[in-house]
Amino acid sequence: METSSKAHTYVSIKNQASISLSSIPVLSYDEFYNEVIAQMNLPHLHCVNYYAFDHGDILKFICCLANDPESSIHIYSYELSKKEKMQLTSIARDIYSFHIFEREITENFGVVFIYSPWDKPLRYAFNRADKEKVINNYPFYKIQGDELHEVGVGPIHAGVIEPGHFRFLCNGENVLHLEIQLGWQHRGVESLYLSKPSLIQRTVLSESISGDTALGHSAAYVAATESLGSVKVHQRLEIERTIALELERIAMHVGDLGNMNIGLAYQLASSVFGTLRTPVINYTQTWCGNRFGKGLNRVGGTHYPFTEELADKLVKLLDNFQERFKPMAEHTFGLPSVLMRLENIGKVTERQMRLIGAVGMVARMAGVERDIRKSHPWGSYKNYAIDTQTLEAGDVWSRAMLRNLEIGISVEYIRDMMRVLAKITEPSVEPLAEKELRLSPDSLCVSLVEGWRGEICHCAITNSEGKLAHYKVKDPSVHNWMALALSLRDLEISDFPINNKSYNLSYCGHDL
Amino acid sequence: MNVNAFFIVMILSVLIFAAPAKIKWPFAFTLQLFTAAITGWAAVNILINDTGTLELPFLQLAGNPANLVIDGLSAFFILVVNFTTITGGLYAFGYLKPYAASRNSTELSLHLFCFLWLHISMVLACLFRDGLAFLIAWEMMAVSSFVLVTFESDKKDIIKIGINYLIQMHVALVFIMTGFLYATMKTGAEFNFDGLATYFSSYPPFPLFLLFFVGFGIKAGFMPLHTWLPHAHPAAPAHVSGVMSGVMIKMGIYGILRILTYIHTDLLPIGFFILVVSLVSGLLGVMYAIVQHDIKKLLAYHSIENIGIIGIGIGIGLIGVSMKISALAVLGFTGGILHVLNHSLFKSLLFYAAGSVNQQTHTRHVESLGGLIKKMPKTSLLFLLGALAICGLPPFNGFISEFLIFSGLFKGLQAGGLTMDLTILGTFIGLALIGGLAVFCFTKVFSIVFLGTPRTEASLHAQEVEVSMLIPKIMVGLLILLIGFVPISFVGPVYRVTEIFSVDTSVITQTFTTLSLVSLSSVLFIGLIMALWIIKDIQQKKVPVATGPTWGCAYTGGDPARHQYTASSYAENYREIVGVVANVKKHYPIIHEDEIFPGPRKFESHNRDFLEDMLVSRPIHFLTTWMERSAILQTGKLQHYVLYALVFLIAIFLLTFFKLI
Repeated sequence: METSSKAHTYVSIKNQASISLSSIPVLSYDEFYNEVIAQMNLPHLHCVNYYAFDHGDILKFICCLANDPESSIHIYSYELSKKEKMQLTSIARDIYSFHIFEREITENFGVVFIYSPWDKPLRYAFNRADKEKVINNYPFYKIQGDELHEVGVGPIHAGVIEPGHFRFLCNGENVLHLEIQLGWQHRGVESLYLSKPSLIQRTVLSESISGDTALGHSAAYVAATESLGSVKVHQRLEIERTIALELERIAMHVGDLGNMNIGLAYQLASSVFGTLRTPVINYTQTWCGNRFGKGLNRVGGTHYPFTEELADKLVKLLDNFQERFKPMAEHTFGLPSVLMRLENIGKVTERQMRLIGAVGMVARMAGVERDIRKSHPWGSYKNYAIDTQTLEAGDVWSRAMLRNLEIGISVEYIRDMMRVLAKITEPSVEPLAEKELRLSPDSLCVSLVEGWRGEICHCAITNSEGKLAHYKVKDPSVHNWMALALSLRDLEISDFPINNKSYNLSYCGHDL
Repeated sequence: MNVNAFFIVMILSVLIFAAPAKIKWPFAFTLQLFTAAITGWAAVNILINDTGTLELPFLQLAGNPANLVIDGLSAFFILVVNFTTITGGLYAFGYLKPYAASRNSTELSLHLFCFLWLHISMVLACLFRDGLAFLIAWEMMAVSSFVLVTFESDKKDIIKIGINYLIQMHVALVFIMTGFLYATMKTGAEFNFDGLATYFSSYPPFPLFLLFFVGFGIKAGFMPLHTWLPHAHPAAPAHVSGVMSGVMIKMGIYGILRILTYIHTDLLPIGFFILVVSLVSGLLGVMYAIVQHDIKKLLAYHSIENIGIIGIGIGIGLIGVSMKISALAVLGFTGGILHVLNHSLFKSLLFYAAGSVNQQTHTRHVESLGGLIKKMPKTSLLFLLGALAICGLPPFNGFISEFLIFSGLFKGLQAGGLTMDLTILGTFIGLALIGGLAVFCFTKVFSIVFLGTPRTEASLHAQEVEVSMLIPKIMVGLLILLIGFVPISFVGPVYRVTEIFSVDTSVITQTFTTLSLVSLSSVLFIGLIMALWIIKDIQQKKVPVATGPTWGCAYTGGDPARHQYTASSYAENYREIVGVVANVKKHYPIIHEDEIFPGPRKFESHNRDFLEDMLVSRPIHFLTTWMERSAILQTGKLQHYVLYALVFLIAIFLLTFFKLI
C-alpha cells in the first residue's frame, strides 16, 4: 500500500492502512513548513492530524494531510531535539485550521510557535508542559472600550449539559465575538490508551471517549488495531459495523432535530422527533444489549452477529420510522414560523469553514464536500458507495435540513446493506483473543471514520516490541467548535441556544 | 417687602471679597438667606393670603422709575428661585471644600459673590417691569452664571463652553431687547412690559411674540435653541448646574409667561406653536438623554425634556383659553406651572447627587461607575427618589404635575372639534412617550451607576459624602414627597398664578377632589408596601441570610466589573429602533468574514446632537473655512494693499462711468 512520492517529502497511504515509521521521510522544519503551506493552499487537501510525541531525546512530529480526490493520506514528519530551544514558525499564521494542532503541541510539550495567531491553551491536559497556565487565567479575546459588556456562561449551565465556558462580547443584545473555552473535563484519554494493559479495556475506552459516538470512536479504534495486527475482516463484519454506525447517525440526527425544535419552541416536532429516536436506540439495545452500541465493535469479530431475526426487526423498524419521520419532517420544514427561526440565522460561509478546517456535517452544511465515507472509504463504503449531501446555506436551516437528508440517505443505505448481507453465506466470527493479536512493530496507522458528527481520526504508533507507543484521538468537534463561535458573530445572543443545538458539538470529545 | 434691607444685602455682598477665608461661605450664605427671606415673605403673602399685586419704588433708571412689582406670577417664581438657590448655596459648602487648596481666595470669593448675585438677579428679573431694568437684571444673570460655569477655568474646554454660553445668552438678550424696542418704536409706548400691552392690543401679536419666544426660549432651552445647555450644565460645578437647570432656565419660562399675560388675541396659533415646539423638545430631549454617557449631560438633556413638558402644559393651556375649554386651560396652565416647581426640585436633587458622585469618583462617565449604592447608600437613595420623581411616577411630585396635564387633556376631549381632539390625542401620546422613555433612561442611569459592581478603581473607593451635602438633598427630597402626598396645598397657590390666564373655580374644585383621592391612594400604596416589608422582616427574622457574589455559572476567573450590562448595551436596542434620530455613530471595525482570529479592536460610540450640528457647528465651520480662505488677501505686503486700493478706485470709476452705481 505504501507509495513514496515526489522528492520523498512524504509517504502516501490509504485510510486505515499501516506504515512503518522508518519509511516516513524526516524533513527539516523549514522544508516541512514550506511543503505543508504549499499543499494546504490546494482546496482538495485538509489536515486530519498533526501532532508530536516523545521519541527518546527528540520530539517526533507527524502530520497527516488527506488528499480527497486521490483517497490517500500524505504523511509528513520532522523531528526536534528537546535539548534545543523549541521554537518554530507558526503554520497557523497562514493556515488557520492548524491552530488546534499547534495549540495542542504547545500545551503538551512547550514548543513555542512564533507568530501564532491564537496562542491559547486548548484543553488544560493534566500532563501539560506549563502548569502555570490554569483555566481561570485563560487569555480571552478582548475589545477595548468600556461600552461593551461580557456575558460569561458556564461551565455549569442552566440545562444540565456538559461543562464549557462561553464568553460573549456584546453590544446590547448583539454578540460581537464569542470565544469558547473548553478543557473542563479532561480525562487523559490518550494516556489511558497506553496505561490500560488489555485490548478489551482499550476498546471500552474508545467507546467512552464521547458517549454519543460510542460506535464511531470504537470503529476507528478497532480498525486501527486490525490494521496494525494485519487482521482480516470479513465482508459480513464490515457491513454489520456499517449498519450500526448508520443507525447511530440516524438516532443522533433525529434526536438533534427534536432538540432544535425545543430551541425554536415547536413542541409537536420536538416530541415526535424525540420519540422517534427511542425505537432506533432501543433496536441497538436489542442487538447488542446497549442502546449506544457499546459492546458491538470488537477487534476481528463480533459477539453479536446480525441474525435474520434482527434483520426482520430492522426492516420493520425502518419502515415504521420512515412512515412517521417523513411526514413530520415535511410538515416542520414547511412551516413559516419554524423557517423564520432557522433561515439566515447563525450563518457561516464556505470560505470560513475551509479556513477553520471544518469537518463532517459542519463542513457539508456550508458547501464544503468533506465526507470520509466518500473520499477515503473504508469497510463496506469501499465496495458500496454512499450518497453524500452538501448544502450551501450555512445557517441553522442548513444544519437542520442536512440532518433530515442524511437520515434518509442512511435509511436507504442500511436497506441496501441488508440486501447485500442476505446474500452473504459466510458465518459470523467471534472477536479475536488478545493473545492472537500481534501488532507490527515501529508502525503508524491512521484510521479515519466518518461518525455522525464528522471525521474521527485515530492515530496509533507502535514501538519495537509491537506495543502501543502513542495513541492519538481527534474528535470532529475539535475543529467545529470554532464554527459555532463564528455563527454567533453579529447575532442576537438569544439566538445562541438554537445555534448551539444546531451544531450539538462534543465537549468530552474535545477535552479527551 | 423691605426694599431698604434688600439694598443693604446688595451692598454688603461686596464684603465677601474682604471676609476671611473661614467666614466667606457663612457670610455669603447668610446674605442669600436674607435675600430669600425678604423676597420670599412678600411672595408667600401674595400666593397664600392673596393680597394682590404689590408695587414698591426701587430706583430711578435713565429718568424712569424702576419699581419692584410683585404679582402671583413673580411670587411663584421668586419662591422657586429662593428654595433651589438656598439648597444650592448649602450644597456648595461641601462641594467647594476639595477646591479650597487649589483656588485662591479671590477665585472663591468671586464664585460665592456670583452665586449670590445669580440669586439676586433672578429675583430682580421676576420683579422688574421696566424694560431697561429687566434687561440689566437679565444681563447680570447671564454674566454671573458665566463666571459660575467657568469655575474650573484652568481647563481649556470649560472656557470654550463658557464663551459659547455667554455668546448664546447675548444672542438671547438681543432678541428680547429687539422685542422691546420694536414695540416701543411702533407704538411710542414706554420701554417696559406694560408698553407691550399697547402693542399687542393694536397689532397682530404673533411676530413679536416669536421674537420674545426665541430670546426666552434660548434661556429655557427649547429645541432647537437648546445647544448651549448640554455643554454648560456638565461643565459647571454641581450646585451651579442644579441652580441653572433647576431655576435659571425657568426664567425663560417666566419671560414667556410674562409676555403671554399681555396677549389676548391670536392665542390659538401661539398655543399650537408652543405645543409643537414643546413636544419636539420633550421627545428629542429624552431621546438624546438616553444615549448620553456623561451623567450630567444626560441630566441636561432631561432638562430640555422637562422644559418641553412645561411648554406642553402652557401650550394646551393657551389653546384651552382661546377655544374656551376651561378644563384644558386651567389644568394645562396649573400643570405646566406646577411642573416648573417640580422640575426645579427633582432636577436640582439629581444634579446634587450626580455632583456627589462626581466628587467621590472624579468621573461623570457612567461606564466607569457602578455599585455605588453600597458605597454611597444615602446619595443613591436620594438619586433614586429624584429619578422616580422625574419619571412622573406616583407618589412623587412629577406625577402630580403630569397628572394635571393628562387630566386636562382627558377633560378637554370632545369639547372642541375633530382637530382639537386629534391635537389632544397627539399631545397625549407624546407626553406618555416622554414619560416612558424617561423611565427607560433612569432605569439605565440608576442601574449602571448605582447597582452592580464597581467598574473602575474610581468607583471602588467612593465614600458617602459629608452631611452638609446630604442636608440640601434631604430638604429637596422632603418637598418632593410633600408635593407627592399633599398636592392640594401646592396646587392651590399655583392656581393663583393660573388665574392670571384663566379662571374656572369649578375645574379646580373638581381637581381637588381627584387629588385627595390621589393622596389617599398614595398613602394606601405606601402603607401596603410598608406592611409587606414588615411581614417580610418578621418572617425572615429567624431565617439565616447568607450573602455572596452573584452566581457566575461556577466560573471563578471572571471579572465581575465587565460581566455586567453597560449603559451603551442597555440603550442598544433602543438605538436600533430610533435609528437616525438618536444619531449615534459607532466607531468599530466589524470583524471580517476572513478574520477567524480577530486582531486588536476598539469600540466606541458617540452621539451627535443633530440640531446642534445643523444650527451651530456646521455654520460656524463654514464661516471659519471661508474666513480662512479669504485670508489669502492678507499678504502682509504693503504693495498688495496699495494694489487693492487701486483696484477699488478703478472699479468705482468704471461703475460710475457706465452708470451702474
